[in-house]
Amino acid sequence: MSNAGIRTVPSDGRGDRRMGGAPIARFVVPAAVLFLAVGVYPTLRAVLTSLTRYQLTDPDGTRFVGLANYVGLVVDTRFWAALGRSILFVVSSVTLSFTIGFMVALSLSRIRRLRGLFQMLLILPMVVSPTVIAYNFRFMYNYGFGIINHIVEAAGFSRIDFLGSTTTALWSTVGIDVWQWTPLVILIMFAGIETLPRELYEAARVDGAGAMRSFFALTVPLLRPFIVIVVLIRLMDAMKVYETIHLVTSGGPGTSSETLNLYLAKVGFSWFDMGYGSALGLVSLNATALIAMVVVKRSGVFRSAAKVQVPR
Amino acid sequence: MSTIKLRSIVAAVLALALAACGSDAKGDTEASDGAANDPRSFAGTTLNVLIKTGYESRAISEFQDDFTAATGILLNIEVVDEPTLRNKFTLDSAGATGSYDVVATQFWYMPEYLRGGFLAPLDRLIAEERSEWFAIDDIPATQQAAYRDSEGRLYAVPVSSSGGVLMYRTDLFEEYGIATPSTTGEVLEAAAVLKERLPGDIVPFVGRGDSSSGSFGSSAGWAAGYGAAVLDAAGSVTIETDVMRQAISDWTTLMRDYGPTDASALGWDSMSELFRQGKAAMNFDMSGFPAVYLDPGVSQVADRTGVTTIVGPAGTAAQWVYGEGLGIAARSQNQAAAWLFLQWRTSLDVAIQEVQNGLRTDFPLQAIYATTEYRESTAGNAFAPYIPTVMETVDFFYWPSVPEFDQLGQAFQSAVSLVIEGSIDVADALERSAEEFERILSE
Repeated sequence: MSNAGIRTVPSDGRGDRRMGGAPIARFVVPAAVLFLAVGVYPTLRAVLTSLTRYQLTDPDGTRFVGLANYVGLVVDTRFWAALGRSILFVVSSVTLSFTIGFMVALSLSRIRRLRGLFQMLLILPMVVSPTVIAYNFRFMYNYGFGIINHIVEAAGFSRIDFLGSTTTALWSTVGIDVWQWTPLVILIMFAGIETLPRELYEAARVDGAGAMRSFFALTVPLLRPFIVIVVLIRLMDAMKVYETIHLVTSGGPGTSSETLNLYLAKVGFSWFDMGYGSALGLVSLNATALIAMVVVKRSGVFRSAAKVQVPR
Repeated sequence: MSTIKLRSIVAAVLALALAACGSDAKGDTEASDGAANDPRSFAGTTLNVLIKTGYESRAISEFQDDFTAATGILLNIEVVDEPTLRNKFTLDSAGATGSYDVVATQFWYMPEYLRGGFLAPLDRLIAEERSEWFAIDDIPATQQAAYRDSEGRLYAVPVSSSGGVLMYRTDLFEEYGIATPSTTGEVLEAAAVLKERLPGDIVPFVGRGDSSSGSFGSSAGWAAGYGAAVLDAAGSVTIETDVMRQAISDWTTLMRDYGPTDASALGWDSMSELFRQGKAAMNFDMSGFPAVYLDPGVSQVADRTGVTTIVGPAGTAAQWVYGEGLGIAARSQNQAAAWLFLQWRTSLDVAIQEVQNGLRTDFPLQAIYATTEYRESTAGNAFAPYIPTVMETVDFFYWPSVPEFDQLGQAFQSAVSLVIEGSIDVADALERSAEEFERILSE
């Protein structure tokens, strides 16, 4: 898209003066203090804790161990396995929920009746607590009495051991995440589709473009900001998932569905190993931030939005 | 002028705060003299009580007005699930916040709480501050042992306790001519017969098989009947022994070959659901479950459930030890008032009210079983007469009494769940567990 007819102007600061006095002191300092208190300080404490042997239930045994926790992390096979499962979980959950959500949003945009009802129904999975969802799915997935297996059997297939098998347990938790968050994709993408200018599609049709060509040449590029936002939100959501896996599989059988968050929670809040838990947490935090940064940078969506644009 | 005003206000606030702190710091230890004779010594005190969901907490919630009426002590009760309780109390104690006066504790967390110095010893209070409710002497020493430190000091009073029992479908056993099992071997034999004859929607056996440390109680408790334990008395790892190999082999055979397909994912909730729906013929678990299975309001097999204890090859009972006690937080400023509450909660009076109100039938108090109220209230409960016997079988020997229990329990059960699932064999599982135990304990 061209920026023809639009010029970028820098702020002259007069607006600031009109708001009265030193705006930096009035607005920036409280925010900065808050950020230092709830953002920087805890992070620095976590860094310091990660350099110690600190067991919450053994206060007398606390001592400085340097980088030992990080070295331990490098050779911890359980950590690497959990990280691998986290990546698998995130990639599959985001891909599935985005693909399904986008397709449903496109279909929904063609429906003229009962749109409000569909939108209301789509909000429901998102407002239910993850704990409630996890407990429900724990029973719905049950091999003997779970409703999902009743449906599978009624459809003429063999029952599936969703939670008791090392090959299906993680995928079952992916299914829950996709079920809960696909509606978010649908709602955001549907809102995006509603903003698309119809005249472009009419022009494309006049030029002989088919449905697929219009989709890839018009719909996808025009929806790019929405796609980036929805993928970013889903990435961050999927990386944070904890309750669902904890309550549905406890990371089992064995550790076959143990993701990084689950392992981190076990180390920190089940074994109270705060030193190693902090090291794990910092690595996890940085990995998440790095992925989010790459997505934002590569998309370039937020760069253009940052400029003040006025018509020429 | 404004500076002077500000200074005055700050000084006044500080003085008030110091006065309040001084009052708090004094607590009720000085006021405790004579408390045994006058339960209203602490009238107006508010106790913050942190307890776990379940029948133990229901009694406190239902009868707390009686305690307040008798003592004038107000109760601020917080009821949470077990992992949350442990997290809250540990974080509160480690952070020296001192938010709680009374806390419920499962016996397996005692080593961890004792190492952290989170609980106050009760021995001086037991010796000097006995109220009319005092009944601790009636709790068997074996049950108190789980709440003592290495020097014998008691830190919590047992509130509930349970042993391991086999619950089975009397109608199916009668139909197929199977005698009630009394040994672990007979359970396996019964399971084999049932597998051949049961309809497809009923499995012969069900138990806990998931990876959580909560399910450690099933596999390790079963192994206790074989004389096997994961640690010996000296704390050495004793997982790779012949008796443990035999025990875990039998347990995983029951779960894998005679249990439901998803046996490796079953926790207490899904396991009990299967039995209550009539989809399992046998269930080995703690003695708290018969009360649920015999309740027609929540169980479809209430009139067809039998309960028995079983012994293993070692001649000792297969265990499913559970125990919860009430302790006083080390940082509590109201320890004498809290002690009064502990005595009330663990008294014979409250136990009688609990049984009369149908809250529970199993108690660590021995005197309750001889009371008329108990006999009358449990007249229709087929399991009640056997509860004292079950209580006698309770033995904590097989449980790893170390602060790292949770980590050890998860390591062991995680390997067992893989055997049930079929990914590894028993030898592999025990080898993995032993290695993990050595690593955890050496760290």
